[in-house]
Amino acid sequence: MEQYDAVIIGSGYGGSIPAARLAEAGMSVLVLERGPRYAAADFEQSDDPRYIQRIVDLVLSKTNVAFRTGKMVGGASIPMDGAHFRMPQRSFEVVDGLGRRYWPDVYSRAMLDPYYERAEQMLSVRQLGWTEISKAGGLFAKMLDTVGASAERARLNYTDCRQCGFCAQGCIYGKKQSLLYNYIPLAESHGAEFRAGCLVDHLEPVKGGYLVYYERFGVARHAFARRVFVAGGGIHTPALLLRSQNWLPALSSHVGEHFNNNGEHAFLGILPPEFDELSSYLCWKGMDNAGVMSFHWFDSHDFTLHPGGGIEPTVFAADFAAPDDAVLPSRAWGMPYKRFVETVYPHRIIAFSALGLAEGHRAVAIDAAGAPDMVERDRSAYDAYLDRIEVVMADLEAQTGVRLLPTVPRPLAGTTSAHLLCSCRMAESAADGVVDPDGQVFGYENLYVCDASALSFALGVNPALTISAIAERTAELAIAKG
Amino acid sequence: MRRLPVEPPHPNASPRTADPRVLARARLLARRDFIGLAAVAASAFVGAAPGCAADETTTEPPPAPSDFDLPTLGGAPDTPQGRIVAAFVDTVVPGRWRDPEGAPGGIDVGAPGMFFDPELPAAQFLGVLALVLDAIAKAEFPGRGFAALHPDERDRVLEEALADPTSPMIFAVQLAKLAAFSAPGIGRYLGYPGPNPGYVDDADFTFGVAMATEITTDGNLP
Repeated sequence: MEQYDAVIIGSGYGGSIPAARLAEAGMSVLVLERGPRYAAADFEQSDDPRYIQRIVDLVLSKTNVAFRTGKMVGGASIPMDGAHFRMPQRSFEVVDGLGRRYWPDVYSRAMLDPYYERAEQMLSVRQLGWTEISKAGGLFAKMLDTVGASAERARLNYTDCRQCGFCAQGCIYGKKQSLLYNYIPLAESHGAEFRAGCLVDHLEPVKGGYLVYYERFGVARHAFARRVFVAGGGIHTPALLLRSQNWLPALSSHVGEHFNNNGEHAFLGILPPEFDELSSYLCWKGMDNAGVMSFHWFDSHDFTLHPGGGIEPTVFAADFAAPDDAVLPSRAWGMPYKRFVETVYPHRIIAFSALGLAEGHRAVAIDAAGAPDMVERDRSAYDAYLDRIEVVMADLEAQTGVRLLPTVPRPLAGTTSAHLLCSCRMAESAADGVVDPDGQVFGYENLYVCDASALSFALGVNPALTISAIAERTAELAIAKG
Repeated sequence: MRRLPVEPPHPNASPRTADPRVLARARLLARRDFIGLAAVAASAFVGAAPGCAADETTTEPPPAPSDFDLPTLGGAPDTPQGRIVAAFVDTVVPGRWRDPEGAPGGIDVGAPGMFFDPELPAAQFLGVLALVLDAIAKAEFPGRGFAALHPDERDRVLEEALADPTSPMIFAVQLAKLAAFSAPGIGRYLGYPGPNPGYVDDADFTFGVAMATEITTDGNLP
């Protein structure tokens, strides 16, 4: 039987960072990744769904949920747009209906800042200059400026970006500093093994550690480790714990609960004709992340705004009916929609998303085969959050002349996201969450959850850097513990 | 190997999974449940459609199916299911055979074929998609399946299928649009560059100047 000081399940931010730090500290480390291992030469500049399906999973469920998850060595650091923000202090201070902070008391921006800095250096995160920001980002900023709203240059992990527009497809030029270029090689240089194609079935505590049961190439295997880090992401981590609950009977009943999509709510903005005068703008010229964002409504309405690029958002326009509208087609398919796309999309569409401090309204469960599924929970608080966003959007529409379309009908809002958070949330006690403030699963010594699922609540900004900072801290504490 | 005693199931665990004797290996996608939902939706459509037909049945004789045969199935197999899917894609993104001055349509760029790619999620609910469309078509236009309808009639069927805003059919429509408009397809016709060396040396890609007021010093809110 294979034995390691640490087995890490998942190789995204929550897995590769502990792998690097534990290996640096002299521990033997095995990382089990369900997806394959790719290099820059394996990526393509393509939106072909057949290619996209190779690098991301869609988790479809009976509740129509379609969530995207990374599936390769490097996890979500590869099919993402490179945004890495520190979480504002205000986000740490959000309280529940009883006035209790979601985040454990020890967590604050000041406490995490040293870990943020460490992760930013490793990932080459920096703020863009205006000369690096595409016209999509520039026009988004211009739109906000029209109503007196502010916009910030984004913080991304690109070096010498070629601005080809295929960031989320993996970056064939190797300019996006995904985990393939920093933490993973650091881990491997210290002896960590990243093993691709491994589907973990369940965990079992045994004397002195844990057995990790997994399948590779159709062969059932298991490995022993003194400590295990679960970092499969906001859907697969709770699913693994739920599959293991017969062997982990003291697991908190919060496993899978509080799933949160970071308040992501996407829109298409149709710029008024006068914006055409600004440029021969094509929204897909330049990096996927349009390079700006806005905190303007964060304090007052709990959300931030983030523009995007690429052609993909167009097809996700909600079904709408506007038969007497001068701009919109009568529906989001058929001849009127095709004509709308032909004439408007290349020059006057900006896609953007709100991220915010929203309550979750789903939980992760598993089906009879142990596969992840999503179940509905009360969405009244989430709907109230959407109401706050849509009031602002209506005002923005009225003041700028920009037409705003949600990308899904309201009843389906929140059914798609790349931010999959809080499903094994960190809390002060097992009565409120799954892991303690140090990332350790309540009731199970040396079993850690170290990914987006451990976040206590929505952030309101992109979560990658906060996942990284907490992973740095969790690894540091685990090493200190010995 | 030591086994812990079996405890009562976790509230989020299905009863079957709670029994370790039948614990199956993890599966990456919960596709069957989506299919199950779509099947429920299909049965709902089948049940509801006759009422609609009573209100909207035309008195004109139905056109001959051959009048509306597509010039290509766009990569879908020449089977009843393949013809329905191709007609569905052509309804969502009309092809050049009925839009000669416009951009290519879904069938012109091979979008129907993607529904039959076993690696894509659409392959999982093909049967339900065809069932729903055909059921509504036959209820609204007795004796005629979806593929045999005039494009305007197909529009009516799809409107009916999408009447429920939470219908899984919305995802089928979005997939048809994604397959049609993405880079290898109509997107290229519209100006989407496809593979390229980057625009970093193209002054036209950026305004290069501040376009709004900033309130942070480094892009992070304190």
